[in-house]
Amino acid sequence: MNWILEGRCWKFGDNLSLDDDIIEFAKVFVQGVRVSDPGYLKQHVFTNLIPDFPQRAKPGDIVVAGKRFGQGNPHIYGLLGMHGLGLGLVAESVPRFTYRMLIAAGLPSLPFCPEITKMAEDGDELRVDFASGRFENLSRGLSAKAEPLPAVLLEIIALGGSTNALRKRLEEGGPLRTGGKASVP
Amino acid sequence: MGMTLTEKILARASGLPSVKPGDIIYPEADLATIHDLYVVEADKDLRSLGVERPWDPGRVFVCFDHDVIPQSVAVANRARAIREIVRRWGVTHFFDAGRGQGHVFPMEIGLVRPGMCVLAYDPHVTNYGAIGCLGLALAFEFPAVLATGSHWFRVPRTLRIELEGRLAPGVTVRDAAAVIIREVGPDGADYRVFEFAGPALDRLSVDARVKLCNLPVEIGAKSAIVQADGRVEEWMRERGIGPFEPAASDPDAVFEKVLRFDLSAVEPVVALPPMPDNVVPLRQALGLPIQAAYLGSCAADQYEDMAEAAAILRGRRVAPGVRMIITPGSQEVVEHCIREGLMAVFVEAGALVGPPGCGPCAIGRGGPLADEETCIATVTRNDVGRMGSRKARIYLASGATVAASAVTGRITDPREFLG
Repeated sequence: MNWILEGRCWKFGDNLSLDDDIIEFAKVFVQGVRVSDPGYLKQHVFTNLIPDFPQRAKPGDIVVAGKRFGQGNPHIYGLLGMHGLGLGLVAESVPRFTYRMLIAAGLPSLPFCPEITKMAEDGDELRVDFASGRFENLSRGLSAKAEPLPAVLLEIIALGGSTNALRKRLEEGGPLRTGGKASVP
Repeated sequence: MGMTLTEKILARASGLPSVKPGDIIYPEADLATIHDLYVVEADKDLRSLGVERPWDPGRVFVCFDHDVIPQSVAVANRARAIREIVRRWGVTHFFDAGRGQGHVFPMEIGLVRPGMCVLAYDPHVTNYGAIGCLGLALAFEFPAVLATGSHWFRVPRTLRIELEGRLAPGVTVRDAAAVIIREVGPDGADYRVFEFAGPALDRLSVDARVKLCNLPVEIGAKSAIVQADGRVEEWMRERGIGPFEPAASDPDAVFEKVLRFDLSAVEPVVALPPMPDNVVPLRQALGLPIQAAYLGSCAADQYEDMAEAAAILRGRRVAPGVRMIITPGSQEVVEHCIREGLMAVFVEAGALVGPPGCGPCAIGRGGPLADEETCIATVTRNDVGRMGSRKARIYLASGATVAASAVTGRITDPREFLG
């Protein structure tokens, strides 16, 4: 897994909601059934804020957000859509359920970077190493260091998210892998 | 270094000598709980992973509490599919429709006990904290628990809330719980376990403690818990549930913060739509006309909630133009209400008593709100559409306030009916 993404900064403010800003919840349903395919969901990411976002965003682009990114009812779909677009996330903070869901969705993330919105503007060129936590603004020559996700969680992201990680756990570890440190992948 | 009650339970469930906040661990569920709306999806997800049945069908709990009475043939067909899946899985703890609300009755029958670690699909599993059991929810990732018994968790920090003082007459523990979530707020609650303690706990029953443990999850708390003390032991003994190992935080446990909270200063409150932490003094909403009043959901469907409302409804009638729905939390609560004459009070008042379960809190099931209606309810949340129409408004309050408002047809202070 290449942990370094380089691309355009898409900057957003505080309190982006899971069910309206990141993706409109009604768009998650196709014929009354929730869809969790990132290839489908990516068409609707951030479209309530930037209508042509899915067409303009490129793999490697980085979303920079303020506090409480992904607040609201714990629905993962918008994060799966961001994964589908090949984005990374750098946020000042996220609620705990969203922290879980970033991992489950397989989205490279630095979820706790205080003040990071002061270091980047929309359209800047960024380079972020999600394994080390190094953040660079190439347009402005600024850099910062954030706490990266723990290695055990990076491994889940490297596998593409929780479903693939579970598949691997089942293949390798048998049905039950608990009992403390021995169980940590 | 000492551990908090939550850290002790997580260490034991993970087979580790100790844990500290921030550690990533894989605790094994003593019980894994799911409800009727999730069973078909869970089975589909497991089968796509090549898993035919849960890791330990004896530790899986399934109950029908959302669609208790199917309202369409499609839902009835899904109910049939659920029963077939549960049979195929070989689940021991399966409870069919009408048995009760899944965050309430497992405590009453001793299936959930102090010190247990329960992993759940649904967030309100935190209710079990009322008897010293740690409940943690997962949602999208739940197939991992069903397939393996465990999933990763980051050990949360514990926020200790020391309760002191006595509630004034007409003020309920639901009011206190609402004020606590307003005071702590989303930033203070995020990723923390609320541990309730302090001298006032001796005066708070298990029913009251459920109210305390139900609300924090609405503002992002990971869970909530109260140590299992003499009150819990007595409550369990009354129900014929055997002895348990007491569990409490160590004297030298490290809390992120200790907050003191004086119950005697609490006034009746209401949460304005559309956020459960929009908590304001009840006087700010007094007089607002309502068309619906609802007492129930896992936030308020135990005997004490029923008694709180019955004290006001006794000898009175629900106002014309208002429909009042009541859903007791379990068969035990129904029986208790019958024994104490509460059912007669509800019927004579003109309230509708529905079957035990989640009631209309589950997106309006069994009594949805219409467009432009205003409802006062004890439910867990008041988001847009929570009880039916996206154009309805939900005000959250205690059972006493709901009953008083049902009688007058306007949001009313229950203290008007006291004394």
